Amino acid sequence: MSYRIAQRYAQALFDLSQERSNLTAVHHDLRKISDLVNRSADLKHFLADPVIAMEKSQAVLQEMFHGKIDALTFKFLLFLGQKNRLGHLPSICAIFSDLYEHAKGILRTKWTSSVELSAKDVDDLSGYLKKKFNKDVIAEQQVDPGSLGGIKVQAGDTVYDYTLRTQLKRFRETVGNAS
Amino acid sequence: MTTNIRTEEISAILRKQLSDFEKRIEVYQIGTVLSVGDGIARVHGLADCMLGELVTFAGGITGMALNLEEDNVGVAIFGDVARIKEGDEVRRTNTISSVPVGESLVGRIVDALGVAIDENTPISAKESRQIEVKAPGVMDRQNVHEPLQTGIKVIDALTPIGRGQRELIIGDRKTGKTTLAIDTILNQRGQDVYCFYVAIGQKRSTVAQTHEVLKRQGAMEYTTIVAATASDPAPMQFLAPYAATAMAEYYRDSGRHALIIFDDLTKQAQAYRQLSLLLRRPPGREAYPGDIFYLHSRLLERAAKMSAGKGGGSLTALPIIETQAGDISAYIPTNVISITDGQIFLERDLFNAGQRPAVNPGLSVSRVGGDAQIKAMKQTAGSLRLDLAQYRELEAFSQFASDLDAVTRKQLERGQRLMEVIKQGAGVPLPVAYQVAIIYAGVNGYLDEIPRTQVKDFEQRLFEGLQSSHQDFVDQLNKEKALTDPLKRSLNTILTDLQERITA
Repeated sequence: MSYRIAQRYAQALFDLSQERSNLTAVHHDLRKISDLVNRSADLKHFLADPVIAMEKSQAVLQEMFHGKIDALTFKFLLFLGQKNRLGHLPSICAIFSDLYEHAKGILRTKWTSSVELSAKDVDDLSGYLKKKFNKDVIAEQQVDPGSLGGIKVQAGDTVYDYTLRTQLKRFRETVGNAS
Repeated sequence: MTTNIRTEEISAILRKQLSDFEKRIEVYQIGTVLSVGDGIARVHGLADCMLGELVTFAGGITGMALNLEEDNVGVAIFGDVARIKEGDEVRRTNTISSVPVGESLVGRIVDALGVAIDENTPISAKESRQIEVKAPGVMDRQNVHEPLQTGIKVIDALTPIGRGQRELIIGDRKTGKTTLAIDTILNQRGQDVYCFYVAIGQKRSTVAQTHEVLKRQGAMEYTTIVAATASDPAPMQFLAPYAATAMAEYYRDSGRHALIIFDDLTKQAQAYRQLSLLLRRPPGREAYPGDIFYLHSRLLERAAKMSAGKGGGSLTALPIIETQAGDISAYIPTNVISITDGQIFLERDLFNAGQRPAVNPGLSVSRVGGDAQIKAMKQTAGSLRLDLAQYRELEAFSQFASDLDAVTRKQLERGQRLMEVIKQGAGVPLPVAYQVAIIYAGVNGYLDEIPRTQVKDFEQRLFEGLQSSHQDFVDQLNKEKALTDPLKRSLNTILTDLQERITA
């Protein structure tokens, strides 16, 4: 249920900001807010707390964000407060980010390798992925020595697994099944 | 086992495997567990997941996608829920749930996913089939016309079952439902019928006992037990009948015959209710979900007699339903009664009065089996049904026996003897010729002069006689399948003979 609520608000904000052509600014703001929420447990509790009176929460939002973010984003926050939906803010941020990336043709990927990738590797792989998916690629890199070698790329729900660990596991299965 | 293998052999095998092994990129889709509990996991991601698809959790636990929603997938877990954590990776397998099928399953005990649980070698089947498939179409079927002999007098005579029929066995707990089903399996020996016994929500000790009985009588040579016991998760209990049906369909579709027993569907309905409520599907009557009728109808529709063009195979289903205090108007019993081609109604009172099998001849019917009855049985059973119906009507007056007129008294006497005739011990299925002989004796008055307590004795001696000195009569009857005049004459002689010897 909560997904649907967040989805509606995110879509509304997205449409409006696109209309007013300040999509990038709003996206930037929401990223900032999302980071802030992730870092501050207090803020998280404040947003999720249904008991705080509306006037108080509005005042807090005013003090925290007034003038620091885009006017549209700020108005959106106050609006959420009025509707008592501040608790949905983190999911709204996430969904908005998905919408933004989709509209801009950006593909978010997760790379897992056994060692740190060199700049050339990153360039090569980015170029390859860009060509393959025909989208701009943002990579979140991770080092996992347990993968033993090779690389694993996750794009959306799909994983392209080329790690040595998986290869070995598959080899073990083939040998095990053969005997 | 390990002692005889030489190291060079191992190296050779490995080298061969390695040279065949190609380096390949592995592509799969994943999701993350949002929440888990009560045997259900909600998973984010798995965007292209199919309904009924198998997914694997970290640690090799499998699950089945049952709910596809906008932002998450509801997965029923077939394993230990405690080993799955929030945030775990879930992987698609791209296969709709399927089970191994084929001859390698005969004599085995497997779970709802076709995994061996009898501590024997793992099942190595060449073929596998999807668990949920649509039932055969209209043109692929034909009328039920071959008998499936249960070896139980009262059933073969009054509610005959044909190959491809669905006959419900219904009754309270402890009225002999399972015994009836097991006896039917025992009687399929040498009949080229592959049997499947599906134990749903039963105690493991009970399943072990059933297995023991079947093994002792040599019935495991053609039987597979599919067990989803009380300690297995609800999704397994829900799935077991479908899995077993998929295994049985293998025989049906290759022109052979199979018999499947669901013991019992009440438990399956309860497991499905649990699953549905946990998946937050809206509850209906008795808190069962809206598709509870479809749950059973689509399962039992898969029992069929295939047309000659499709090989003429058959799948006979004997679902079992447990009632509470004889209430057949509860939700699940009425559903399954309306789906099946008849029911065998077992009654607590009859059971306690020593009338076993406790079949109520009035309420039990077989809507299609009549065509499948052999002629000899039809000839004798017709009057049996009538005599029993009259007896039931007069039964209430039996206390005033001395005040009744001669005709009524005679009818009562006849009825009592017939009730005695349809009694039968557990685990002793009878060949159809023997059944015809004793029922013929009953309805034609050969037992009227014999005291009620001696009817069993009469029966015993008749069977001994048929076995030792009248084998020709049995052979002839099996060949003709009808009571022709010469056969009738010889049966009359046998019975008069025996009657004289007993009354003398």
